[in-house]
Amino acid sequence: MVTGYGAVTALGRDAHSTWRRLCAGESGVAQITLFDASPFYSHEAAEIKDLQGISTRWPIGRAVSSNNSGLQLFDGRASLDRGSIFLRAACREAVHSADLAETIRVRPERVGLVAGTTLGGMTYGTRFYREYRARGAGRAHASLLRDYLLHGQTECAARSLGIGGPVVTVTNACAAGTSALGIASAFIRAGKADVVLAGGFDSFCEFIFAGFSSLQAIAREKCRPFDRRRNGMVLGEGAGIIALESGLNARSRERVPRTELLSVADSCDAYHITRPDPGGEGAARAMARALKEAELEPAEIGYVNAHGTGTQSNDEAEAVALAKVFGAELQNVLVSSTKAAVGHLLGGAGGVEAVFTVMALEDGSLPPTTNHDVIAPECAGLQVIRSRAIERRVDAAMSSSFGFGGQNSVAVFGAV
Amino acid sequence: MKVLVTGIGIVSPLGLGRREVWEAVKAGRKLAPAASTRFSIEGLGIPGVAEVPDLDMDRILSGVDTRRMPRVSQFACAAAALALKDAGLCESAQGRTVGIDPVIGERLMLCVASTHGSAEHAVKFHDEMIDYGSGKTSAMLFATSTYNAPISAIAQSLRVKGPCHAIAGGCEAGIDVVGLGAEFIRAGLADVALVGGTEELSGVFLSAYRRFGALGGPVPAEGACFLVLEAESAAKARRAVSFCELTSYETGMCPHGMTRQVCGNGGSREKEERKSKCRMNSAPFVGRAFAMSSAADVAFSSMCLSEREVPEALVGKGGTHAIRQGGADVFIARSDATIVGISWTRRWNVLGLSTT
Repeated sequence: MVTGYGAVTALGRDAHSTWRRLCAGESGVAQITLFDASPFYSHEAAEIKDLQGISTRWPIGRAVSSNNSGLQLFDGRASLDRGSIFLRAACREAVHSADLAETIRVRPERVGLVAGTTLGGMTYGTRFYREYRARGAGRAHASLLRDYLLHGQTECAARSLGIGGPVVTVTNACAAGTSALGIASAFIRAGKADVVLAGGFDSFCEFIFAGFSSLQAIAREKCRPFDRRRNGMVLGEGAGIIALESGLNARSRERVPRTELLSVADSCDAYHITRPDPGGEGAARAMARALKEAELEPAEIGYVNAHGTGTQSNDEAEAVALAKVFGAELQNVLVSSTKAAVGHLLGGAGGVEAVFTVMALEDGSLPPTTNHDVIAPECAGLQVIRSRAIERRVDAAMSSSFGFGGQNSVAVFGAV
Repeated sequence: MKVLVTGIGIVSPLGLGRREVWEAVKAGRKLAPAASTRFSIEGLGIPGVAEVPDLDMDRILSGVDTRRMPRVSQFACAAAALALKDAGLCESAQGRTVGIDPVIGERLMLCVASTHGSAEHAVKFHDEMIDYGSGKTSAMLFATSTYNAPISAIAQSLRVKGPCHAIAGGCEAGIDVVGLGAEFIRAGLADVALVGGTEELSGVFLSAYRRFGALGGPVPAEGACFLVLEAESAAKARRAVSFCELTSYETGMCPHGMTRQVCGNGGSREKEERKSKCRMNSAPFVGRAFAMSSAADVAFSSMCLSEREVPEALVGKGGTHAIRQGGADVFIARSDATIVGISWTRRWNVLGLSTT
């Protein structure tokens, strides 16, 4: 059961403010301010501008007892990488939204955290390495590496929340956030936890922008998923976390969840380290398996939150995979990619898009694909939601994430 | 459902493959610290490191271009192939692995732990950013520096198409991938699990650990260790030889200190010590290879249970109270073993093994 969620994106510092602006067709993409982007061919990303505002609303680095769910922050470190701040903010919102503070206080060992990330604290990692090169090993601030290691960010976030159950850091590239939902479900099914906060996070930094620019994967102008003029992705940052809970535990707390995570299925293309299989075999296998485990037919899916990066290769392969799995039913499924509005959050994408998919089921609004104008011929057959949200209640929805290394992860949610 | 360990593959400074490494361990041949061939150890305050010699990957894998792979991926590919070969699950030609049966490949779960990923390629990418400018970096170097690069390399090399998970974790993460593999099999999400840890040495990280005062203990080392897990019914059906059974996996965070961590598992460290026949100490043979170390601890324990004997060289001599640095604590009784991992963030995990 999904009993709560939290999200921090360039569109808003919580899930609901992000959702309102997303459905209104707004975009969080703007000029890059975090580093000098002049050497690159593109200068835009979906950055979260006012970090201080986040740390004020969800105090980081000092003990809190009387507000924000009454949780104690375990560690007193003041300096955290952006990724850690986003993760903690989204976790705290999810805890508050699911009213889990008492559960964590009384039975911390029954609450877990499974988070996906691609980079961890790479902003600090790059700062450390620049110092290492400039000043030598003995004079670089080694403390910057404390919040660089991927697992350290997740585990310290869990400690700060008082979580005592299973804590795992998944780093399945851009599929990590969705894969995290599957591992979290496995912990609940195996009886190792009653509640697991699951999703993903990543921060925007020079390293990742340089990397995707070198692959020529960044959009030269606007990111336009599934559009005939699409020319690449736009990067973003933030975190998305959902609170997954066993039905028994939710009922014992008298929570009435409106959404359920029905299944998560993963597969691998085994094709190329960066390119997806153009035949969409691996992606289709994950989608088909997710439907099978959810015990749903394609016709029962009303909405797909697509991976939809806006690159030539991803969108084409994804369209092929959707056509393989949905067949003639594809014309009845509404599809959107939210990446043009909040950016591609890499390891955080699956988490944020899971939150959007849950909100779509709960609100009866299906979010738009910002900047999408005319469908690309190779994506023909997809019913892409354009500039504004569509009001429609659906009973089941799918969220797909695909990553480097051909890693595919697909989640299916259902209305309760 | 019983889950068994049916294959083990190791790439270590001591050798290649389960038999070679195990013979070295039984002979008491410890890791020999030496100067690194890849970075300077000056100022690190250690006598040396234990590197894996350059691998002749063509001897192990057929038809796979491993030249541009980071070392962490090469180790992982080699150890994974050796593990599948050990389990009798791979197709081979002229002694080299050429991949697994496509039907098995779609139902095989791959789960790989690493603490630092491809540190060397991440550093090289940063060097390019600094030396040539951010807009002039290598696309391939970026791709191979990601943490899931070993997953991608194994999947392509061995035709693995099932669920693949890259897990970032500390020295204890090698235990988690084994535990998760078993859970996926029990849940029916996979028929076979190929799980393990892989790590490469990095001068940058070692210098940082030196600054944290965390470079004491076992010699810094590298390598990869993989295990093949299968449901008992599937293993019996193909008459596979098994090493041991995985009986339990528990994990959690403890905000209250080391002793309570193990108490969280329903037992206590002292209880484990009392019932244990001996405490295994793999540190002289595995070194401090972070996530790989704990995977190797599981592999060594599996072999001890299979042979119903702990080699003399592995018997811990220094009492049982010290926390094993850079690996897990292993307590072996007559017919079972308990492997306890603890990270610097106070995350713990416990894996139970028993004889089959």
